[in-house]
Amino acid sequence: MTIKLTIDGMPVEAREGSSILEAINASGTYIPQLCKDPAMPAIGACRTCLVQVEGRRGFPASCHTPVSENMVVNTNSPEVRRIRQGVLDLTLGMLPTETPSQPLAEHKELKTASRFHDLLTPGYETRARDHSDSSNPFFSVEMDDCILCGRCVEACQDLQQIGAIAILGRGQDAFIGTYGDEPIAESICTSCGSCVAACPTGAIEPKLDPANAVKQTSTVCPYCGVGCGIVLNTDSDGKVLWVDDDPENQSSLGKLCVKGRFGVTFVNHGDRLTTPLIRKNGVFTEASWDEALDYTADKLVEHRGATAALASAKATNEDGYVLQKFMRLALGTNSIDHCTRLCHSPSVEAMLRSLGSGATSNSYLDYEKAGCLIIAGCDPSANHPVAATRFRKAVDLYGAKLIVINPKRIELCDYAYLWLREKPGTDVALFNGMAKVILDEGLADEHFVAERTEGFEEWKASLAQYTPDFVESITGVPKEQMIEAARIYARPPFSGSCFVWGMGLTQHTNGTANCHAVLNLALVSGQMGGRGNGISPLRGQNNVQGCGDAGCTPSNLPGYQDLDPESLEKFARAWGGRLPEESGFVVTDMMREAEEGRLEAMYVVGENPLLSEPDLRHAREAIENLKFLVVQDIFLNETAEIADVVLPATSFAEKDGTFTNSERRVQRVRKAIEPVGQSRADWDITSDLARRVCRRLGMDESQFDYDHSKDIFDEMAGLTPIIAGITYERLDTEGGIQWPCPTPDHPGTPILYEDSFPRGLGKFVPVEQTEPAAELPNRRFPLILNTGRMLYHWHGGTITRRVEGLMARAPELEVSIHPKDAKRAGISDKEEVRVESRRGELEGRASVTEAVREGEIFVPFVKLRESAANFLTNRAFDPSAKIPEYKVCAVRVEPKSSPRKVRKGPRAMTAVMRP
Amino acid sequence: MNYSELKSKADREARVRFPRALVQLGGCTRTVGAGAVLQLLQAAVAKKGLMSPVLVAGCDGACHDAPVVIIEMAEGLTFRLTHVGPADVNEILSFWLAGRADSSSTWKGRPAAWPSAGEGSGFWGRQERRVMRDIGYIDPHSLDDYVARGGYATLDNVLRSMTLDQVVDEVIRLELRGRGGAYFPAGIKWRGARATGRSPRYLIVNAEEGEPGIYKDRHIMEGNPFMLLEGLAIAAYAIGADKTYLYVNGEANEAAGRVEDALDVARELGLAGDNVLGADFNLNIEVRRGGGGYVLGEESALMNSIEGQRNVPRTKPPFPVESGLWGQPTVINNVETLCNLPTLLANPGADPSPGTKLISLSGRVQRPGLVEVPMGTTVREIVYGVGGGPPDGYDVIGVVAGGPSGGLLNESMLDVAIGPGMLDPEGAVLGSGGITVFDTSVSPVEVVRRLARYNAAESCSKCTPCREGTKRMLDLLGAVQRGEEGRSGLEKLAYLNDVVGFGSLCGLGQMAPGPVRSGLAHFREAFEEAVANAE
Repeated sequence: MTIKLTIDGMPVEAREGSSILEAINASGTYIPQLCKDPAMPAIGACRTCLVQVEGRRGFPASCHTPVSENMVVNTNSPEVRRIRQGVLDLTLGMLPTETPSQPLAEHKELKTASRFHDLLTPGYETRARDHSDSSNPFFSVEMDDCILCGRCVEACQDLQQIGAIAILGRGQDAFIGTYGDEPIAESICTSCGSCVAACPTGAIEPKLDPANAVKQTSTVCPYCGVGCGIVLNTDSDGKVLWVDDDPENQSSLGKLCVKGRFGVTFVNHGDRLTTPLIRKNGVFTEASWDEALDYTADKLVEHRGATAALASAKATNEDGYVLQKFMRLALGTNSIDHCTRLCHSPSVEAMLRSLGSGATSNSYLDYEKAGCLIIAGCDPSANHPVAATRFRKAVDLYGAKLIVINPKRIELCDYAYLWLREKPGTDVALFNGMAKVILDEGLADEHFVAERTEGFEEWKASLAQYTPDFVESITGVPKEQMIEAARIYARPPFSGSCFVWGMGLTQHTNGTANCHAVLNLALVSGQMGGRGNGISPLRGQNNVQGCGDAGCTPSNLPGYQDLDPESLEKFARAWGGRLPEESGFVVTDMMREAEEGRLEAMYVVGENPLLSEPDLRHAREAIENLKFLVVQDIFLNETAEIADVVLPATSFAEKDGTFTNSERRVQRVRKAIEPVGQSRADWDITSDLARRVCRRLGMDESQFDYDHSKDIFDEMAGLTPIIAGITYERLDTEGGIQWPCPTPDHPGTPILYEDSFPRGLGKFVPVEQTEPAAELPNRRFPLILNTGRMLYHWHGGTITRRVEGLMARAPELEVSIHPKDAKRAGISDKEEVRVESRRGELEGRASVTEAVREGEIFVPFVKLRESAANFLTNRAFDPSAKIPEYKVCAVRVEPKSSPRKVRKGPRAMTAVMRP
Repeated sequence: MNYSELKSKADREARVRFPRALVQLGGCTRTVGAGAVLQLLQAAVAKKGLMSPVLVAGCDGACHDAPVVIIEMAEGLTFRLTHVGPADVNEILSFWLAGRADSSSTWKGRPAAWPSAGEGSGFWGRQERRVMRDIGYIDPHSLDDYVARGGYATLDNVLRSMTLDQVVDEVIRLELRGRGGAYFPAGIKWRGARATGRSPRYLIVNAEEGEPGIYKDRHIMEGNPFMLLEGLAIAAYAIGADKTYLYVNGEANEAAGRVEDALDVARELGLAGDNVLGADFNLNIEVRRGGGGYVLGEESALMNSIEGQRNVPRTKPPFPVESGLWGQPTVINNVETLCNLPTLLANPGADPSPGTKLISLSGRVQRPGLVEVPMGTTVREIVYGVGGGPPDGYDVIGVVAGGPSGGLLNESMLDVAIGPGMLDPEGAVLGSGGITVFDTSVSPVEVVRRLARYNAAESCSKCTPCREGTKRMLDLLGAVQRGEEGRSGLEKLAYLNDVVGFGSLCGLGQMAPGPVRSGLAHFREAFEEAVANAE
């Protein structure tokens, strides 16, 4: 309902329930509002938005006074100005009298407010306070400039659900501090910078050189698959100065993590590749684009029939689409794959088999609506921090029951109702056990099972041996906990249950089985297709969803269309040429084929197999065996270092396009700055290369004539039913749209499978617990190495190592080890250690902690100081999805200072390849 | 246990309880030696081999008489021995054991018989003791004592014969107003919470009582905790509350202890918990203690504290009845308000009346204490009639009414009658009922500065006008006192009064200027004199 009121004599309309301040702001009238964040509830602390309301006593604060019909509001009468001016004068009295120490912000909103009230000199002697904290590399806190409005605390607690900072002390002695008044860098602060964004005075201020932004560009964060909206502030020299959050973005709602807010300065890093490079006589020499592309085209034509490409899940949908089109049409191969092989291929594989579609079924919003959340095999606080805010909110605000399943203690364990700490590689037994409890206790959704699924009886029979006692003996999880988890999942306290998982389930030799076990649980409980339930594999890269959607997989055309005659025919007609019918190689196949000499040339776009593959020494041997390697990237990464040709690509900030996030939301990526050096957008480079290849092969090169990424998107949408209704125009006006969106008037689909599954009925797929892992500890290698990620670095670290603040927060590799293991190995906390497996070694610093189980260590797979976990990991892989077993291998740990116990001999070939 | 069983047991006990002694021991009287008196008397009685009990009672409010020992010889034959010291123990024993005490007996040269409120004049004669009726004369640990004097009859009657709506309507009709300071009609709050139709609903008993010079709620809890439990049970019933939080000031250990003891007894005998008095009514009570701070008396800050949040006020609206604890409908009532319920509802159909008010009377009067007078009594009557005026040789020049959130009245203004709302537009309020008398021996400027200092120290820090403004007021007052400010200093003070009063978020900030504003208005000469030195 609309309310009519008058503001300063002007008739205005406002939504019922909105505040007077919202109505004032909508009317275009200025009024100070220092403690009111537009996106947050009113705090009511600064008292600078006081107004006069006819017929009401006093001067209500407009931020928390609702509008009412026929209300007459006066924002600028002498009476209200007099009081507001007094409040502002008291506020200014908290600040130093000299010119504010913060030239960048100039006390931002406070300055505007004071000028509005002609308060240029404070009426009181300064009551400035000297408390300050500059321990965080990204921002500092100067209480001198703080007016105690509380917005930073609100941002930390209510927006980010972290609560690292609070107002401590009482009365005039109050200040912003942390628990125990420790320096912020030593608190639970995650450096997300929401406090910086919220501060109206610059008391919490980024550590940046003063500069003026000339342009703001709304785009999408280049880090994880959550897909947060960011606004790039850039100067006239094409430099990204700082990043603001984007409250309009439906996936992030104004939230960002440290990487999104402070981690994009890599764009302007001096290490950026600026010209094409060709290896001549073993050394890179700078080359022109023509030279590099002609040479590359020659080589690819030469090796046509033995080529493969890795597409980039960091690049846009358009980039991916053009690359797969090039490989299929011009080079005649389906051997194109991307990093999903190394993260969620088991999830996609299992979902395709059981449901017929390989994506997250629901939306981030469902995390907040769920009555039960299972977070298995992932650490969202580190990898998907903005998704983690929703999990914390679900627990803290809405009372959801959170069940963490992870051998390692993660931050979310602090919020968990149950934490099931299974032995690595025993998830199938755990989930089968839960399913058996659900069946035995009559908690199954019989209606759902009967109407929506098939294969139930056969699957049910397969569970017979997974009794609670048996499961406990396999997994190490007390049976009471497992039983309770099953009960809560099947019958959450309210709404539905949402199952969220990550690489902890997939990066195993039994990864696909794990995912099937999860899907079986969701099917038997009917936890799909509704608000607050669903299955949610958290996607890693910003566009790993989109890269697959765009067809960068060896077995599917864009939009997961099969390589069936009908689809092939459709694409052949559109593209004017024949397409290969046989599936191509997946990433892990490519390594084998290269090693064995059958694969001769590779085109690697924005990928770095020599850091992301398991058993890096072996991976290097395989890649080195190629006859031709072209790498297209923004930095000279480990793979590029041994390439024949290196092509400089633009970063996300320098191009237009789209990313598709974990909740299937297609979002616009917008060009903010001109390309660095001679770098070009990936789609542009690939198209140019493709035209040259076509020319050489006598093919129609006009298939790769694109003027703008929009042309590519339109072509892709025309051939891809799931995004057929999406256009750039819609994305610009409506914001991101969740596929499937088949028609221009379709609003997008927040929840999949409401009425049916793409394959018709959901299929139960019986799975058995096999050996937990291919390589288990023995006397020489007594510990299990678990790998994963960390908040302050991104994957291998190619980009985050080039962000100063992130390096300051995490300069070296941390090896988490249980106190008992540490004692046994003679290792003390913070000591430098060496970790060895049968395949290699690394050096890092010990963190002695009970966060890991006894017998297991954890090392993030980022490469720091030349040490990377993937020198140790095992290339045994899941037989179905062919994902490597990054999560389990056998290692030993020693103090770095101790002499090597075993002479380094030839690499032992112990990796077990499963059929 | 149902009510008739309770009552017959209590009556049985009452018939056989004589003789007994009660030492009025509370948080205050302990400071003047009542604890020692209790121990010595108990020891002396034991030594004599007597079976008669020496028990603890709450203080009856006559601070000036403390320590007080009550001797109950027989039904209707009760003595009140005042100013008892450790040295008087043997004399008490002989008074008690002589068997010659009668209504004309004296103690330390004064009549020893129990004084009756409402008769004659003086401290007792001018009071109308409803809430205070039994305080000081019953054992706060004894449910029998309370029930024998009519306790729980009202609750039993309410549960048996009135619907929730009937209780709400009756309380609205009887015009019961909140005694915490705002005098909002209690029944309207209850109706508001009910009208949301949402549950769970909460009742919070505000026993924070953090302001200086107010000590009524802790006296009630020390002297008659069962009355509070009965009162809150009636309220919880009428609201349909799923849970009641009894929020007791963090320093009021004596009060909290006695309420918790009483609650144990009540739970054991079915007066709290499920099916109270056999009725379809569950009373779930949790005692919470404050962590300190004047602001905790502010209801939304108190709710934040219960939730485990920082103790700062919330914005309004929404009001607690719509969205209080954890966003649920919540009624917050003061201890004194709830303690009016058992007597108020004991006579259904009675005419509405403004009732009584407990007044914490302190400062320069002959008979300070906690007194209960009818609404409408003048301040002068309380100061001179009940309190006996100043000691010989002193002249009253004014009072502080309503504590640091109230204001000053000068002597000529004392004929104002107490009642809800402002006693004076410049600041003085009845508030939660504190009257502090001052005389010529203190400077009114100093009185104002002390109150301002309190407000500055207790500002919770949330909103700018209160946090910064009270500090600036305090600094200015100091400068005025030291003769460093001219007349413009008084103008700055007046401006700050408006900024803090109109600008602050919660009632405490809005009322913080009261002492300064009323001081400037009613003791103008003292301030003029102070600034004259600077000019």
